[in-house]
Amino acid sequence: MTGLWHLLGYQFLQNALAASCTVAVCAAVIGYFLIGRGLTFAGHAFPNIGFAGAAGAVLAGVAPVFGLFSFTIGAALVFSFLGKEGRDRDLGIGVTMTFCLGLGLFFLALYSGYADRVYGILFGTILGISAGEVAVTLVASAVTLAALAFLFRPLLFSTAVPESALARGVPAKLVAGAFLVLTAITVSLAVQITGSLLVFTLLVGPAATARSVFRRPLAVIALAVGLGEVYVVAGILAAAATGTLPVSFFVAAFSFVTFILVRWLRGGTSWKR
Amino acid sequence: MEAIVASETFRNALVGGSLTAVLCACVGYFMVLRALAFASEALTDIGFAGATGSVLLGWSPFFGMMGFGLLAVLAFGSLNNRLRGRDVEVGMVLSFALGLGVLFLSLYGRSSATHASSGVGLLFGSLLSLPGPLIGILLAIAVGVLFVLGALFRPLLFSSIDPEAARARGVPTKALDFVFLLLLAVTTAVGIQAMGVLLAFALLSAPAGAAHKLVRHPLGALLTAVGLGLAITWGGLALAFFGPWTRVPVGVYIASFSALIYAVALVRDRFRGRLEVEEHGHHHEREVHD
Repeated sequence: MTGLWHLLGYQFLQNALAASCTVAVCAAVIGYFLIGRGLTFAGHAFPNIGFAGAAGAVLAGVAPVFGLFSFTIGAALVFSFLGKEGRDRDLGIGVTMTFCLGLGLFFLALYSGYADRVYGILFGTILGISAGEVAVTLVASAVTLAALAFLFRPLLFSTAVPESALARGVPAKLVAGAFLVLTAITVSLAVQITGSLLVFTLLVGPAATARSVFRRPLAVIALAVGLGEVYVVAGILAAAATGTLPVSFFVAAFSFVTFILVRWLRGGTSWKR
Repeated sequence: MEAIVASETFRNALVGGSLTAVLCACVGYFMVLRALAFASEALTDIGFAGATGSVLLGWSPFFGMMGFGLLAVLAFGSLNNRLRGRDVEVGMVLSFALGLGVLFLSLYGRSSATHASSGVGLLFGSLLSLPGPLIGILLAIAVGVLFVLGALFRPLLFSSIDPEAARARGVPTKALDFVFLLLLAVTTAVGIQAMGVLLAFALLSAPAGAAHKLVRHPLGALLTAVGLGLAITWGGLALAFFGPWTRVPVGVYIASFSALIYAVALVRDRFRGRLEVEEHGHHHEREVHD
């Protein structure tokens, strides 16, 4: 325990905690709607697409952040044209993602520099975040959350009961598009902090578990945010304590074990019936 | 050019690529009918975790992919009824598998004193680096999977298109669900060997997805999917071997052609759908009663 307190004194660990706790809040809220709208696959596709964009940016000699945002927001626009039927949408998401990964492979093949910089985007450099990056992440996340709050009621309405929302005049297409763009922004922010592979866990893990505990949207979102924070803090501390094992593994493992335990305690409503 | 055609790399790539394309197109068609796109994409990433795990233990990546694929199928299979609409559970298994993959990769990077990026080769495999002995294994697997698909064709098709009616008629839908997931896991393992983790989904999804949009009759759609898959693969190989851009990997062409074909089919279907909404419904009814 004293070892952990000692570790907390390090600036790099404080930065890692601050930045990832911030993106975990956005990811948990986005994840709630993502699952509700049947877009879990998109949550998996966005970070991969962002990876491809970042690889392109590195090749072009600009900061990865430009590639991340342009590719994920572009994909959000494509996804919003894919229609509502689950099967078609999932296939379209998958094909778009594979195409972007093909582009990523293309960029990597042309890039003759130090490819580790690109792989850093895949696996994350969570323990190498500067104070400046923490500040940028904080501001950008606050803006994203504000936009989500602004959209909250129509988004919730059209997620829970799409037909009556449409009948009551909620501009469903606009809301869906705006939500996908906000997802793209959140993913782009999170990828820079945690790496592509962990973003999906932060999006889906907390919200999935919270949804099997509560029913009321606000309660689910609050629990999801809380769980996200716990996973991230525990994951970073566990990784720091072991010294070399990756943060992604611990966060994914905590998230998975909690999910299984909660489902099991709830009588296995979905895993067995 | 003759030197290239005579080379073993070319022969292996052509044979291995064609086998993968045919297998992925056939299994992919049922994947599309069963709306299992996310589950199969998840299986490719789960295969990645399995492959890194077995490389860590000094085994062939193929064992790990098969093993983890089987475990994932068991986990998916214990899900409620069908996988349709179960993407949260698929996602949870996927996210855990990704975490394990990262763990294995980091352990691998240290244990072999090489950097983790050497294990990243698994992410983007290449048809151009298929080892000769693997072709025989690919052939055996493809023949086996296609044989099972052929033997189960009618009940599998029936339960894919209309599960409720199939169950009412006494088709063992649960067993078929499980068998199909197994075939899917084996096929993804083959796809990963040929295309790498990140692009294996291209040959599985795009040819079948496009054929499903273009052709209504199941057998016709299946054949169209095979044709499209072969066209994509051969086109990619032709450009990779004889094209002017030698640095571009074959996967780039295959992923781009896949996306292009699917996009064309999607646009065509939208256009047609707008013209004959009524007839569309009729077609669907006919399919079910066939």
